[in-house]
Amino acid sequence: MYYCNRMKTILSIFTLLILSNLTFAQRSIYGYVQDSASGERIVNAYVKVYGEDVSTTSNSFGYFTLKTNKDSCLLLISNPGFENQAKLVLINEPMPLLLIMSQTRTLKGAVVRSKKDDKVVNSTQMSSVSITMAQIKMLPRFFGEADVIKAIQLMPGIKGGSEGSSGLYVRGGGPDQNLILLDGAPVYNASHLFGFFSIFNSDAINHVQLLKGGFPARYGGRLSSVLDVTMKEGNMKKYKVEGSLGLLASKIGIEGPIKKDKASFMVCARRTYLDFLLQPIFRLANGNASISQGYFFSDLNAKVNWKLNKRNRLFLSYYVGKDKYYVQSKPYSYLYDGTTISDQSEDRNQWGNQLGGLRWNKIVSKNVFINTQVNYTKYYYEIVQSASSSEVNDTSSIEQYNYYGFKSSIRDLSLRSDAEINMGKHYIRTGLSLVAHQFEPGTAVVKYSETGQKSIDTAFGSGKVNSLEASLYGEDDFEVSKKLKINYGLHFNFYNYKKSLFPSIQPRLAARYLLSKTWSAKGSFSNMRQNIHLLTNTSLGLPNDLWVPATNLIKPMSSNQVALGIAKTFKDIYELTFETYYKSMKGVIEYKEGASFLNVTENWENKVARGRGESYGFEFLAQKKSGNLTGWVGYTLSWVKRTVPEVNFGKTFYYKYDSRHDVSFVLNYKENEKWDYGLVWVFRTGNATTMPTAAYPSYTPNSYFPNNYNPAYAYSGRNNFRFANYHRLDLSITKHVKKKWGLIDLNLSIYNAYSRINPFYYKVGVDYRGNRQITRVGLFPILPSFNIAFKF
Amino acid sequence: MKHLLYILFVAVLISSCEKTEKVDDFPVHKSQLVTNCFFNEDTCFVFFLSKSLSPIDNAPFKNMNSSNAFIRVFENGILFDSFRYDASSKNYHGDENKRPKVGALYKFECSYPGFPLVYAEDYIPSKAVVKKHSIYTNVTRTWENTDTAVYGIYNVNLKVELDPVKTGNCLILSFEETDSILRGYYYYSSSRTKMNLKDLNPENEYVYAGNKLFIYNEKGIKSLALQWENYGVLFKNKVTVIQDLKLQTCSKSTFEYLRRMTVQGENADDPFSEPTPISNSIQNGFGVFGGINEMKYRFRY
Repeated sequence: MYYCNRMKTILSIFTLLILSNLTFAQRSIYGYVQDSASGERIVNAYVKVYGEDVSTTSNSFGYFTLKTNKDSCLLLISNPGFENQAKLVLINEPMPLLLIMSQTRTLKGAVVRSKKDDKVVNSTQMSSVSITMAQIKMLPRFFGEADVIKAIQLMPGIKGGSEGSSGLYVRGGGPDQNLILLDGAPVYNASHLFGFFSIFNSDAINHVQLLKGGFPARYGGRLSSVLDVTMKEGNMKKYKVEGSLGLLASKIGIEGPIKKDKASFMVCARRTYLDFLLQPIFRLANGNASISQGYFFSDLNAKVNWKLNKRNRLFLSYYVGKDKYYVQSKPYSYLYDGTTISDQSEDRNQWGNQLGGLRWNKIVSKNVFINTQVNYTKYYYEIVQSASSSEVNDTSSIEQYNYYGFKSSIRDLSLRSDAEINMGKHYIRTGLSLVAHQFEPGTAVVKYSETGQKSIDTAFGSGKVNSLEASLYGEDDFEVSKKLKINYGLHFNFYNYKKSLFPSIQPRLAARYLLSKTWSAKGSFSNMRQNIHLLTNTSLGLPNDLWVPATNLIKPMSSNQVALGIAKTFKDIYELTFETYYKSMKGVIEYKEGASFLNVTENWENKVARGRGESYGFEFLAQKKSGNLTGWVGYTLSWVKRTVPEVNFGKTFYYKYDSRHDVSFVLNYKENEKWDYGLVWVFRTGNATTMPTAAYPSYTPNSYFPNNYNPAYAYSGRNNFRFANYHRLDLSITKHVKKKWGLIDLNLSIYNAYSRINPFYYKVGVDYRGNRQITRVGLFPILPSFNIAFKF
Repeated sequence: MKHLLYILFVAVLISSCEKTEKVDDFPVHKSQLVTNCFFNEDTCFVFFLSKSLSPIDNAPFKNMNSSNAFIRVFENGILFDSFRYDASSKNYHGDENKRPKVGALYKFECSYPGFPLVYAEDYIPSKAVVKKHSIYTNVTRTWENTDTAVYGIYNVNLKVELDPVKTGNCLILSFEETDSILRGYYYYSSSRTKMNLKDLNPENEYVYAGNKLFIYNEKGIKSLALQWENYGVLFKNKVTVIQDLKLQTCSKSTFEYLRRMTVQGENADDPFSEPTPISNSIQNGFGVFGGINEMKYRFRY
């Protein structure tokens, strides 16, 4: 009843706002923004009508639409990494338009003279981070790999957790509170190699955008951020091969037209070769040539882009990636006392993601654009141990087989449809989605057979659990006056688990007020709901981090976030943003005292406790987006707290990744067409951790002497101690060599150039002599790496 | 094999650099008096005194070698006994060596020069009372089958009905080592007995640590449904197995102290576990003053 009344009131306001001030006498200009070289759509390009306060940005399919009162007008188009363009649109211009942009690298001199790009000032969207792939590739690399998530971690309000990790902690949220989308399909574990690398192959990615607040109604399902990653569509004009050889991994990608200007494809693969490199060492260590062991990760991105006609387009996206650790004992036989004995075994741990999606874009009319998509996503983790042996002699033959398998997974099937309707002063987005989740928190299979014995073949553990989620949203980007623009909307969500239904109405509001042509003030409010939880107590992105559904016992999480900010552009090439925010969270989960992620046998619901969280702070970002010298300075001042009744005796404590000051300084310098230089310096206050304040002898009942090897430690509270401050300098130098057949990029990167031992964790304990001590473990001292990339 | 994953992770750590932290800014610790005394109806009060140290102080813990402490115990508010230092055992014994009673409230006070007065109170609860039990076993896996015995893993399922009033709301359950004569050479020990925690009856709260099951129920513990695995030999002539369960009852504060102390000790070498603060019932100091009652419950199957 409460929900019905609330819904009626909100819907009435929503309808009134839309019906007010409708304008139908304006002319619609719509179309796509496209890269001249590849024919790919350009996401997030800024399109503005010259001489009018009318502007828009292209959506994730490169589509834009705007309305003007003039019959003919001049469109200005800009996007970082591209030369700014102007196009005269005449009265009889056929629609949809195709706005062509050229990449800066293709121009002689490569000096970009940017014209006015006031997107950051004009848009209602705040708390948004957008980095181009060109920028990401110019940054210093970790083990030779350009990493999307590591680049995003350099922005204010975003933390990466531990050293080298590709985790995301956005405005005090946990690692589970990020909606990571790859071509619209959710990714449940975005990391390889225990979180040191993300699954995103930089050669396969076209665009990356992260929202950390001010969420429009079209997004839902997570509390803290939306990371929207778009894969390349494939070159419509010509075949192109791109690849690289790195310290850890190699990549190769091919793209090109299936039919010129009609259909294209892109395939990109990556694999590490640690297993090949370390094989001799493992063999030496094992002393047995029949045993092989190793670790690798690999992934494959593929996409097909088919332009059915001017108004219809299909995209088929696919991603598969896995990490695998294995020990294999090849068949080995020997003769013992007249009996031939044979053994062989295999142990393997593997985990990975599989994603697939089919999207259909349709320009329905001059004002309406629709995207409909079907997605499949799966993350799995499995362990297999098997061994077989046989003993054969003249009189008997005995064969034995042992098998143990453990598997956990999460799988989603979803259907989603989104519509964009341009009604002049109202730009309406609406849509719905249906998601069927299937969780498999952990199933074990045991098989045993022996000649002459009864076989065992049994499965036990948590079975598959299903849940359903339906969402419906409506939002309106409404230009109230020349100075005031608002984006308001509602996101309805219905989550069903077993016989329980958890409905929610999530209001969203964002506003922009133009203080001048280069200054604007912004504000936003977002209410978010999350129906799934991730069980993890590290930032490592371990493969056995487990996604579990919200249940009657562990209910959904929710958050409210308010943000206020100012955006400013000056001298056409600099952008400044100041933002302050407050976020409260309910139902966040924390590991209970004593719980450890290494303890994999305990039921997950027993390990966690629910509580509240709050975070607030201030963020500053100054960016230079064009010219030979580009980069940014970011600063965050923030507080993150948690209150959980079962933890810390119910008292509020600082979150593990609470870090008071966070500074990042990023510079990319393009000296000429041959040489690029990159520099990153980061500083942040150390993470919070729990350390004892006193040690005293422990006794057990009936003991007469204190236990010196197992003293009791007293704590003044959870996370009462700070890690040493974290700081690091990374450098890179890239040489571009032009060959007749193409281009070679030689990159040398130095991670942690002054070899700072940043703490990974602290440990309090007693050494073998019985001395109490505190040690800190730091990963990765100075780490040079080399990468050779080629394209033709 | 599940832990191969962690072996790989540890390999990454080993290949990194480990450095001993110079803890210059670690807070200075002001030493506090530590008093330890567990008591039950079969023994007299014995107090062990020591001082707390900084977590990075390398001095060994030892019982305080001094007769300067003045300790008194009160029973239901009336002086029960005074305690003096025994140099041979380095602890404090009562002048009259009186034994505490079940149900009475005991309070101790200890003064020591240079430290504030420390005090605490507790009682000995009644023993757990088992009304009845039922038990059945089933074999889950075998690895050798001879004429007389089967070697393998078998599940023991035990259901125990308790008197919730007498048992109270805190119970610590552990397996006693039972040298079974009937089993010949084989015996069961706590370390060879693996509790299956997924099938515990949900009306109670559980923590399993240090091979002990800490059970709590705010309304009193009425029943237990336990399941554990034994690794061993099953004789085919159906010889009876005898096994003992130790059931300890105590107050909530003593229960929390023991539970948290055990969990903390068990996780001492796991840097990724969330630290467990130990609840402290001693005012102005550290340690424990806890009454415990204990019964052994023998069953056969």
